Amino acid sequence: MHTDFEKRYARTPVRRPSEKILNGMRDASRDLARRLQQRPGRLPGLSVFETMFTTEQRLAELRASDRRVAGTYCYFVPEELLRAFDVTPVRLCSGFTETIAPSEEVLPRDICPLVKSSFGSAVVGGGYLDECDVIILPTSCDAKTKLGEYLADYKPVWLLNLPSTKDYAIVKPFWVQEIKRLKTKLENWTGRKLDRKKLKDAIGLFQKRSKVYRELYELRRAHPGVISHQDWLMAIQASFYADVPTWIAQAENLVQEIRKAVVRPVPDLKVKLLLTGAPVIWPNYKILNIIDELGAAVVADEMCSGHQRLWDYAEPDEWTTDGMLEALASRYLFPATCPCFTGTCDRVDKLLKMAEDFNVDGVIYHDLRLCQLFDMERDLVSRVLKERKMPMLTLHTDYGQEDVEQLKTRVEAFLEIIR
Amino acid sequence: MVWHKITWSRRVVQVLSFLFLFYGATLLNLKPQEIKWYSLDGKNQKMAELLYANPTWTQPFQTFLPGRSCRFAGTTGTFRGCLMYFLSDTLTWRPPWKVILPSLALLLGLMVLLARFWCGWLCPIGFLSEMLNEARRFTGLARIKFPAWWLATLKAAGYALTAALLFSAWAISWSFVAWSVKKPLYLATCQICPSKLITPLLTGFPVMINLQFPGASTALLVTLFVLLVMFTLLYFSSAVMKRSWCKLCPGGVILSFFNRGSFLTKEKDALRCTKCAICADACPMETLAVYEEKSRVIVDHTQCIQCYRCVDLCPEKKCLTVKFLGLPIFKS
Ligand code: SF4
Ligand code: SF4
Ligand code: SF4
Ligand code: SF4
Repeated sequence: MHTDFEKRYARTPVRRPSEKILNGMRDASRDLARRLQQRPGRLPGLSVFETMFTTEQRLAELRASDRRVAGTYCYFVPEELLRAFDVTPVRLCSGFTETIAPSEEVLPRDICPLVKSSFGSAVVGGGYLDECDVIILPTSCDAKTKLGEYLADYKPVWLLNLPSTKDYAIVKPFWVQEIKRLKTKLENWTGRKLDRKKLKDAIGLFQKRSKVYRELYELRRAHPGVISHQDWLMAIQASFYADVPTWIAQAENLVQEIRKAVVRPVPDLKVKLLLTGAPVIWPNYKILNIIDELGAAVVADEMCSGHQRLWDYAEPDEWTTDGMLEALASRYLFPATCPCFTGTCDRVDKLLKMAEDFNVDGVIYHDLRLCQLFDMERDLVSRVLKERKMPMLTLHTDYGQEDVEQLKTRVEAFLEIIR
Repeated sequence: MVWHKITWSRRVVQVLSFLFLFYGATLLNLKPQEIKWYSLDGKNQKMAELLYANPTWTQPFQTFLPGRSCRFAGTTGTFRGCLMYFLSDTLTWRPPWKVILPSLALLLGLMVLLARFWCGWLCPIGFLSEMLNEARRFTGLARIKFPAWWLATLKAAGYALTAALLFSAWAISWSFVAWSVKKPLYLATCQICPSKLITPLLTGFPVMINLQFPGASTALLVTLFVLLVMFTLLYFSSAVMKRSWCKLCPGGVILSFFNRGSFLTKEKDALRCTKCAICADACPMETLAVYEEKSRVIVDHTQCIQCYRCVDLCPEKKCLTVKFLGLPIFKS
């Protein structure tokens, strides 16, 4: 099958299967799940999402099913299109610290932990990446772009050439071509033409998913204390792997539960924070945990691994195949506030809007060590927030646990100022 | 996200407007002589041989509308003609103010009131071009996207054409202009208007196209005919390119001057906008103004036909709002 990478000079893929590491990952998931379960008044409807991480049920399902599986990264892969070809997407962005060490046998040390961790699961094996028949990788940041070449040692990798500006007049035609190129690849791969009806259904389904998410968002906005942000992110990130209709049903159930729960007054939160910056991914909820432990609460986030993933939907102006592909192209590019684009303003707008929506007391900027992009966007964000008298704290960290105490001290000092 | 209220209301209004403008006289059984919008002064001797002095009373309402209430709707139509017809004819004959004042006041009033809302909701010619596009959508065939330079060309050509038509209407009133030029250029706006072919096609009103006429310049007649064919083709291309004729239409150009400062405004709450570009994809005029505006509140612009498709599809609550005299009428 065609890949985007030449193999004239090859590298033997390094494989280090390790039950020890896999067990470590399982433990990390279970520990986090246990911690989440201990929160008093936690809604029972959340536990279905958690099983996505604590059991290997979904993995077994994917193994047993004869549907093809495509691994994706970031925000930019049009999952509706995959679904229309009966391909199941799973998002492979990883938050496990356990796979970082094995990845360093191949990758340089000085790149971002997210990329190392994601690549590590190819080295260790045994996870979702193993089940993928193909990997679709948008060229978002430098590390992700080069990750493709490494992953191509293990699986066929298709690149999506992501433009670096979001200027509609310039990049829309190009990006539509890129989406159509993906369509053609899928057609060749599956041996089937794209079916208009199936694509329409898929877009409709994802619109529905977005609608449920927006309902949850509105409920949370009205009652921020009804669900912790760790649970919130966990539920969103369950959608990385979940079957879409199942996820929607579970989320609808959660909506009902929240409606019932908020009949009685939800205890007000003392300090409300907005989280932005580099993706926080299961089970690396370290900073959220620190904030929770110190008696403050994150009530909303603007991350690609959180809010951004489910908020936007495609809205075709016309439901012709072409019209739908155009709409998908827009959906999977323009609303993104990923720092891989040249401008920061769209992200600032979104932050200001969310800060207003949730009436937050401060902003936490999560900076993943060795990600220059988020680091470089911080300056403008912090200046704008400062102008508007909104306190902001930057947490510069990675996936490890070594700096927990130090982070705690910084958050504590920040909370002092806010209070 | 599934039920698009504005688009559906618009379709209903468009159908009603189309029926009223083109078939109103027949459907509502309106008799030309019985209804007088205003009476014309028939005593002006100087204009004795001219249309204004000799009203023919062919329509129930002897007046004009800003949209294409085309004169070729003939006996079934309700109005005397469209805005361009009025302007051209007035420039040519220059009848006394009191004769044209009622029509002029009505047109100005309607334009200030609604500007290109006429295009988006009321013009039958615009409506039919959208129906052509709907037919294509139904078949599932892909639409053709205008490249930016072509859009710019159409826009510029629209201004040039409008200026040329109005100038020619005025110029043929000059006494030193030869009859051979005057004759072909009389009502040039209609000679080149796709509506001259499309409207009679629907209403059955007989039209004639003369490529030769005693004493008239054949070269000019043929030139105008070629333009007519080109513009009609452009019109029919709206099956595959949204509102292609409207991107050039002289009537639309005149209305576009009223878009800013009309009673209707389109407002954007920039902070609510997620820059999703759905509005840019949806716009039938393929403009980016609403999408790209990130600081000002009013997002009216000349090319906008006020169809509010952008407002309808915008996924962010209250991000886009249409107001009439400051009162919100539509919200995203
Ligand atoms: S032919 Fe065109 S310009 Fe003439 S009255 Fe009809 S719509 Fe107006
Ligand atoms: S641009 Fe011209 S044809 Fe199109 S809707 Fe407006 S007046 Fe009618
Ligand atoms: S800007 Fe909006 S209202 Fe104006 S023509 Fe485009 S879609 Fe219609
Ligand atoms: S559709 Fe609405 S939210 Fe999207 S870019 Fe346009 S105005 Fe902004």
